[in-house]
Parts: sequence; C-alpha cells; structure tokens
Amino acid sequence: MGDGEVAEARPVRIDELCFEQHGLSVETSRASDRLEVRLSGVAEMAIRDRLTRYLASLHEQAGAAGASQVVMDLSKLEFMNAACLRSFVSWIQRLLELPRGEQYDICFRSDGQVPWQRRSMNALRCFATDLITVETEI
Amino acid sequence: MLGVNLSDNEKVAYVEVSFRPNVELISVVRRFVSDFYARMFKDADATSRVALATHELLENAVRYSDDGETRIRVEVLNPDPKSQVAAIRTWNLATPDHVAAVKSLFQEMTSNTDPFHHYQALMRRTAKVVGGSGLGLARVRAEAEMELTYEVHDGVLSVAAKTRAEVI
Repeated sequence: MGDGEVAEARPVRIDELCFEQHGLSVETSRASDRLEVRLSGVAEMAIRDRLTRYLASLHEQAGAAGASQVVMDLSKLEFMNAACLRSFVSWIQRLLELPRGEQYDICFRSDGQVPWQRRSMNALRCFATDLITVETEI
Repeated sequence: MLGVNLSDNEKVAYVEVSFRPNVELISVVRRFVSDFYARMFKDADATSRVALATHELLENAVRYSDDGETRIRVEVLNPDPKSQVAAIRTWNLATPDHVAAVKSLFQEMTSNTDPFHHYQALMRRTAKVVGGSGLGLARVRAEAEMELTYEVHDGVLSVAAKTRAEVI
C-alpha cells in the first residue's frame, strides 16, 4: 500500500441481521462506519412483516453504531412487491424524522439490466433526495 | 387456456389462468407471464413493466377474493397495423367494502393526472399504515406506466391494465 492510501475496513457479518425466509435472503455486514446489506431472491407478501421488522432493527443498529451510510444492494433481487416497497418507505420515513445530525445516508444498488429495479429505486430516491443515492451496475 | 393466432389482426395471443387463492402461486404466474411477453415483445422494459403489473393486480385479486377464486387473462392485441397493446385483466368476487375502496382509489387516481406525483403522495401518506394502501395500483400506473380501469358486475370486480408495446 502506498502513501496516502487508506485500507478498506474488512466487512464483519452481523449475524442477528441476517436471515433467509420465504425466498428472501438478507445479509448484513459492517465495514467501518458503513452498514452493507445484500438482498437476494424475492420480496413478496409472505415476507413483508419480517422485512418491516428487519428494517426497523437495521435502523436501530445504524443509530447505535453511529453509521454514516447504509448501502442497500438490491441488484440480486428478482422482484419486490408494493407491500415490501412500503416497508422501505417506512424505514426512510423513520430516518427523515431523526434530527439531521443523527441521520445517515442510504445508497441503493441496482442492476441496470433489471428495469423494475431502476424504476422502483428512482421512486424511493425521490422520497428523500437529500439522503438517498442510487448506484446502478451496468 | 392458451391461444395463439398470429394472423388475427385484433388478438395476437392470449393466456388465461384460473386458480384458487394461493399467495405462492402469484410468483409462478408472474414468471409465466414474463416468459409469455418476452416471446412477444422486443424490449425487456415492456416485459418487466407488464410482469410488475401482473404481480400487483394478481396480489390484490388473491388477497381480496371473497370466494377463493381468482382469474387472470393476459393478452397481446393488435388494434391497428402499426401498434400493439399488452393487456392484463383480473377477476375476483369482492366484498362491498373492497369494491368501495377500489372505487375510491380510482376516483383519487382520476383526479391526480400525474401518476408519479400521486404515487409519491400515496407513499408518504401510507408510510406507516398497516393493511391495504392502494400503493400496488398506484405503482402499476406510475412505474409500469399502464392505464388502469375497473368494472363491477354482480359482485365480481374486474381490474384491467394496458400499455402499448413493440412485438417481435
């Protein structure tokens, strides 16, 4: 490593924020002051309540850890229904209600080859443009 | 039921499925419909939009079916030589309360001419609401960019979505 280069923190899996149920797999890890989440599979009606509880726990964990950013990688998600999308909106709404100094940023990652992801991530970004960015893998 | 008639100027192809409400079947039908439209359309975007709409319409129909029966029909129409239309229609027996909720939502959508603005407003309004919010239909209008209509006959609610698309 040369002068001026900063070592990337190795991600540490957060076991209590990982689960696989009803076709949805959620992996959560922490790297420095950033939480990283990877969703894969499908997020549909059967998993909505579990997903809502997970996002509430993630929000608490981000606050307790003083995270500056949560990276939410949805690029491997085959589909998400409106009910689960609403779980994300509730999470974002909770974030918006925090004092600015306690808020963290959200970065959604989507697959550019999956049209619904582009449209849905854009809809979520518009909900809180100051806090949300969208990275699209081409 | 499946029909294909490439020489017919009005109805290029259609698929109709009836089943008893089973949440897990919704994904099966969405994937089946995606494959169906992927064979008919040139662009993946149209296929994705129609698949999204299929899932949301079907989920509503299954969730609110009053007698356990749900029916869906997806078709490609050819109203004139230069255009193609993808159309989805679901049917389910609905309670008067659900019919009233759907009617109210459609009135709201009619008065909000910008689908995306309405979708965002509904997101804000229902962020912490438990239960039905109408977000699925608003999503079909805004994200899938499909025109929505509904009809009620003898207690059977029918919701339809359609959009123009290119075909192979």
